Amino acid sequence: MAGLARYLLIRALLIIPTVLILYTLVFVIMRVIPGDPVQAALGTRYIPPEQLELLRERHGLNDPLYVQYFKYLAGVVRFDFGESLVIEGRRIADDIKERFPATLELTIASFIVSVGIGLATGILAAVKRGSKLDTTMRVYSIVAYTLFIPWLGSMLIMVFSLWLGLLPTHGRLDPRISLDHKTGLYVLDSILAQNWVALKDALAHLILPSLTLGIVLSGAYTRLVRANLSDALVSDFVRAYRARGVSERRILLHALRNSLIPVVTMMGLQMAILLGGAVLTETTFSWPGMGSYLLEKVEARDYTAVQGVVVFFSFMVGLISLVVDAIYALIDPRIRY
Amino acid sequence: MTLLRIEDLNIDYVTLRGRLRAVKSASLTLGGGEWLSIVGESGSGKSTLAMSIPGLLLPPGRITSGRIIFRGKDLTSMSGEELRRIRGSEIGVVFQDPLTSLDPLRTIGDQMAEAIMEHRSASSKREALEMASAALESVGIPGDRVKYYPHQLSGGQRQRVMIAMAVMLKPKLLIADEPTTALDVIVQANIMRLLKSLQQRMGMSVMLITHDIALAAEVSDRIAVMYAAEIVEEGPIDQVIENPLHPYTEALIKSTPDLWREKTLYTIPGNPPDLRSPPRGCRFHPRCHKAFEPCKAKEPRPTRLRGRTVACHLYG
Ligand SMILES: Nc1ncnc2c1ncn2[C@@H]1O[C@H](COP(=O)(O)OP(=O)(O)OP(=O)(O)O)[C@@H](O)[C@H]1O
Ligand SMILES: [Mg+2]
Repeated sequence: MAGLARYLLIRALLIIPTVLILYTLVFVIMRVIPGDPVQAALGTRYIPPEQLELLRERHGLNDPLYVQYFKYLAGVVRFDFGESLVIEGRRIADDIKERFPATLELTIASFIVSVGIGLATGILAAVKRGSKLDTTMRVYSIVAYTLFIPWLGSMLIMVFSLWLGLLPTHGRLDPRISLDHKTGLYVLDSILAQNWVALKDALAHLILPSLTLGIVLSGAYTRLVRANLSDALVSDFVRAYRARGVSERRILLHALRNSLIPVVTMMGLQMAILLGGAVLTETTFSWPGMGSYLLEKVEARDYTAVQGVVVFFSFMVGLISLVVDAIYALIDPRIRY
Repeated sequence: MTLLRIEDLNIDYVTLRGRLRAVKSASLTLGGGEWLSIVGESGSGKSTLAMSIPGLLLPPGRITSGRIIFRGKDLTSMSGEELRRIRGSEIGVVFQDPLTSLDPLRTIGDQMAEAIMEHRSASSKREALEMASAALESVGIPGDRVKYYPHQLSGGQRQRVMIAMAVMLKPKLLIADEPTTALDVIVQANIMRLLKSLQQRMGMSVMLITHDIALAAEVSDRIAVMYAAEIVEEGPIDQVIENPLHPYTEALIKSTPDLWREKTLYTIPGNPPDLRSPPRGCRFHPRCHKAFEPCKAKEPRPTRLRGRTVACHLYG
């Protein structure tokens, strides 16, 4: 395990430059965009020049660029992303604290759905390779992959909410239910508060968005698992397991583990993209997460908010890649030694 | 005492490109404690024949007819579960490539213990690991290597591990399919010596697949020569090497430097046939310098001759 700890430490250190590069990129891009951000945020409203100057001063936009660069970075490491250009006094970090849990909850739920469906269908297809079942799974994967999220979402809403009346159409929680938002993950919050009514309602709200997103994302897993697992199932070491009389059930587990590395890579990528906010899903289900937040802020031309979200996102990417590296090492001893 | 008797075995691979008979009408017997080597050019069906015994044919390979009698029971009519219980415990297998035959993600001890526990359901993981490390010692690898992952061992060591895995439950039959081909020369010799000493110590029978007839001559009791999916000659090793009956066996010996001390080595003209469309008559006749009229028209039938079997028109 000493090898594992050292490996993780090195990985963690390597992530710092990655994140710094991302941060710098975001910073530079935001500055080279033509036009004055304050003017842009105010749109067509007329503001006297003195007041504009005051606003610029207040957001540090008059400082030399390198001062801005380090000042902002110093804020970021303390989880401070500055103040909104549009809503006076509103801290971006507070917005993120409010919106990110919604995205995290949706991400976890749809991740479970997509990995669950993807693994099940992929394993079935690989084990029954060449059969009708295999063909069915492959067709599923292509169809799932090409589905348009708003379309699938509306279909599910039509069937389960409007027609069957089983599930809510939008939002995260019935406004009549009061719940203490400790973590902002409503499912977790209601369990912590032992509020079973809220739990049931939060789950009911979560089902359709996570199903929509999960199904669309599952198709890629089906294909990846099928391809890698069926290769592993005809590999030499599987034949050697068989030659020693190991049962087929256990052989399947070992083969699966050997085909997991590329799957974990994709999980990491998907996780990263999902945490940035699933815009289409969030807008379809009025889910108040990072995706819809970013959309709102772009529309409002809230320069600091957009910058804050993107920088926050690059930190998440760094974090996820560290987790992915850790999982690699747990799976494959050749990496940790 | 006969341990294994193969009777008129036919094995086909049916692919989109057509049906290929990789083993045709093969019959063989192997006595207890005996070492039989199967030699022949690449693609002659050696591996297919050997792997069909423990039920390890790769898809789409299928036994289409014939019987494989092992310790009095027909393996071809056994269920998958019955065969699984025989594999690893009564029949051990060593493959050609030790680099790819071990699961890279698990320690060799885990892989060995798992197989031990499949067959000895009473034993605990600890007992199984102890057995595994004893098995490693018996092939000349320190017992504490059970904790190692495959990538921490050299190619030769890995093949020793594969051998330990194949013999750890004291099988009656060990099938080794070109166990030294992937290794360098010095390691090859060590591995063969190890196999020979294990066979003598444990009294098991060995079926060795090799394309190296000189190697077979050193270690075997009997030899079977395959050509284009058929066993063309079979008999005690000394007799076959000294006095080959089949022209193909003769050609093989005359093209092997270690066996043929004359100045000029023989090279067999032409190439082995495509098994999808083998030549009519004797399959070897287009390359045979002793071929005469009947060879082109009629398939030779295996004939028994002074304790040997040969399929050639020269012998009735
Ligand atoms: N899985 C398979 N699918 C289709 N054809 C196969 C398969 N395995 C072997 N064959 C064919 O069966 C014939 C015999 O192959 P086999 O591997 O038994 O020969 P071999 O004597 O062991 O050769 P080598 O010395 O190269 O290992 C060859 O013509 C080969 O192309
Ligand atoms: Mg072979």
